[in-house]
Amino acid sequence: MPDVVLKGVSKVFPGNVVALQRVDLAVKDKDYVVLLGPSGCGKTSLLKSIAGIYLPTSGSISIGKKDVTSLRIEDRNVGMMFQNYALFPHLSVEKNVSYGPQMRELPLEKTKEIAHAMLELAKFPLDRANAKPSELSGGMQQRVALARALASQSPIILLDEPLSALDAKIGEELRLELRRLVKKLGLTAIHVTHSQDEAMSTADTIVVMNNGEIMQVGTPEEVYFKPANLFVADFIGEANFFEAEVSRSGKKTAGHFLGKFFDLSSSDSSRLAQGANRAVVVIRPEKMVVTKNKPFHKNFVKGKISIRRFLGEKIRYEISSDFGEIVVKRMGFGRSFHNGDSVFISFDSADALLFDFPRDHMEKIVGRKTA
Amino acid sequence: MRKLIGRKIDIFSKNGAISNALYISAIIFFLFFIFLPAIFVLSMGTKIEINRQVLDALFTSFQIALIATSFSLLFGIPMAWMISRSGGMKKEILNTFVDMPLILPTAALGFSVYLFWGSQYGLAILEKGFWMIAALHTAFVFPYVVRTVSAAFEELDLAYETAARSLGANILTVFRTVSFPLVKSAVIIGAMLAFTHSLCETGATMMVAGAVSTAPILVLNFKNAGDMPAAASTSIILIISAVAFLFLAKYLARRASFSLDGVSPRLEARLSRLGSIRDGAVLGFFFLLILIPAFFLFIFLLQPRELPPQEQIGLIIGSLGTSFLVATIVTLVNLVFGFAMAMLIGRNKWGLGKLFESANEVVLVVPTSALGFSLALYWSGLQLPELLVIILAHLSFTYPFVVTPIAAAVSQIDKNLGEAASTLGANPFRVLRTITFPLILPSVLAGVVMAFMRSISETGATLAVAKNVSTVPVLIVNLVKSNNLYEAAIACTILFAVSFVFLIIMRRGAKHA
Repeated sequence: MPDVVLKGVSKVFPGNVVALQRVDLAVKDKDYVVLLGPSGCGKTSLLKSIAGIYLPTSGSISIGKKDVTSLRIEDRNVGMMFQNYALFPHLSVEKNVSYGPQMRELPLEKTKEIAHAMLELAKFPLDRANAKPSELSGGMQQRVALARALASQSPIILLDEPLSALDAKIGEELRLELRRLVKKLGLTAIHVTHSQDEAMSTADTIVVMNNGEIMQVGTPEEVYFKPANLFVADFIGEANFFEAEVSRSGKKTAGHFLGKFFDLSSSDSSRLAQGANRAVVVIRPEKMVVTKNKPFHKNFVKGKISIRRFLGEKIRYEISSDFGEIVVKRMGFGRSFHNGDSVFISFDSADALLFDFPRDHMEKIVGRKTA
Repeated sequence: MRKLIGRKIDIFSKNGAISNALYISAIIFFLFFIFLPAIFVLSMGTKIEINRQVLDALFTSFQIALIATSFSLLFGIPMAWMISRSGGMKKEILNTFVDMPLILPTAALGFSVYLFWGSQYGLAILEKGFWMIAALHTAFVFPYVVRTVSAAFEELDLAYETAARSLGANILTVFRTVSFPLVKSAVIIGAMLAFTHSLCETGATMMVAGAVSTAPILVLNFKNAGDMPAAASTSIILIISAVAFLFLAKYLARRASFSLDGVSPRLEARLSRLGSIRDGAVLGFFFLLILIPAFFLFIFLLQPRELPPQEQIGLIIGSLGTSFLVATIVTLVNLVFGFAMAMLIGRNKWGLGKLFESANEVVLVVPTSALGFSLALYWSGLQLPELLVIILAHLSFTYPFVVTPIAAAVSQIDKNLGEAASTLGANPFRVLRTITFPLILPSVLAGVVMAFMRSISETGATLAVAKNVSTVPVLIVNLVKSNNLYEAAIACTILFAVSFVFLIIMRRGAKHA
């Protein structure tokens, strides 16, 4: 049974600031869900609505099968971790973590037991349990914040950018621990982040948001290889966007871009309207093949390497052809090209996705110029 | 033209000696015109006479201060909480209402409170005396508690409260276990401000005291009766008590930690549902005991009456002129000499920042009637005209009002800004003129307006140094004493109108800058 269900949830702030627009979302029990999107997309507003910090302007929210739309924060029984931890500065680590159990008026020994258990789970050294939050490093504070949220023993945990305040390296280590712990305790997690990396490595399900709306809900593979719209295609990872004229007859589809006609018969054109004669062709950089000699694929162009960047695992090339820029990524080992090399770029039409040409200028949707 | 002067000064300031000279002259001014006169009376310490009368008056003052502070805390802290958690319109309105008793000059406040509680035009349930003084002082110090504490609540990160609630705590429990402990130093500061202001209040108290003497009133009584040693004794004791209290409170603010345990969150959960009753009680207290009494004089004024005779109006206008003259001179002089001092404190020049900051606080804390008396003694050898002594007295107690906000603003300016400007070629005065000054302008403005308003409404110090010259507050006191209530109300209204205009100017200026 889904644990958290949102139906038609809208949130409008004074001054007509729309944070959420009729959001529908069903979070499955024990799923690790990540809300991902750029600043201002509404992901934090969504999380806060579930927590009860914001009351929706319209719509309903239910947890378990209970309608919680008008319930106060303290009555919802949802654990929460905050971006800057919000550890009570005047209380010790132990008192912080014991706060939740204390509110339920559990006996003292039980409270202490739970607090210690949670601190251990979060891998916080118990001999520092009397320290004040200000005496701890960022990573330690994060563990305490986690332990405190877990100590209230709720089946749902909400995480508001829990790793943003940490150094990249520590963040990377902790995100895996976070997921491990959540899975071990069998919790449902809803985690907000603006970091794709974080989303991809921790989520079972990613919810991509923009402008207060949900753009797509899917697994990391789904949002990466099968983006539902141009926003997701652009936001997740990197992609080549080509404005093309398309024509279809029977099972054949052809697209004209980069100054040539390409055979797109095997491309995924499910997102393209029936009679459309303009489209945006999206191809991931790692699906573009760059060769010295004329390639096998029917679909190819000629170009020159204009930028080459070594990224460790991969090498990223920007290649100029007569009619536009193409971005290609290859594995970092093996043969590499140099600036100025003349090359051929090709792709398999099965790796291309076709989208409807947006009504607004491409730049608005995708945020930058395209080929 | 301004550019020309500015550039000329820039050239001068290349000489580091000029700025040092400015600092030194600021220090000399402070010592000889502000600090020493304020504490001069302490030099008569060998002749202290502690008799029954003095002790009684002190005891009365302390009792009243305690009552006023306690009530202010009891109702003020929930009110501060309510205000900080309200939004938009409601908050603006509440804030304005809370500030209002502060805008009202104390003489007007005293008059209004008397009208409300004691006169035939009001409730007539209190006589002039102890309880009317207590009611007056409560109205008078309440805003200090609310402002200080609500500012602290505002600054408190909302996330703490949200976190506590997400852990199952209801709003009352959150207040007790999280919010309140985190603002305790503001509470102590607010209580301290309230207590010392009550202890030092003279002018308004005179109008409602009847036969009762608080310590500041006693100083004036002794002085008027010609008994200088007794006035000196009382002043000294009063000053020492106030200063001791200041330092005690500062110490406590750093150390105190209360934890209120043993209350059941479930009980609080039930109580928290009574939220609206609590709100109602707090607001009820505020309106009945603070706001309405404070502004009652305007209700009084609404009753139609014939205008007072020409000469009375003339008197009022005359005192208005005096008040203005004094306030203007005093504010300007303090701005000129206080500015360098503010820089000194803010930049901790020669490591003397803390020293002069404390010295300023001492001046701030000395009760104005004692200060006035001390100052009169200091200058008595010179046989100065009364108006000049009044100016000197006002100079003394408004000085900290100018210096403190500017010093605070200066100390908060990112040093990097000045350094950045220097690397771009600006000499120190240029930096001051083009970067520092615009950034601290709101504080300068605030200091100027506070000093001006303070001078306009000051009663006690003026009474302590002068017999014949009257400023508007002094006039009000005299009118009330001679039962010319209507004229007193008019004078109060004029005084209030002037203060109000200046408050608007300050708020506008602060928003623009």
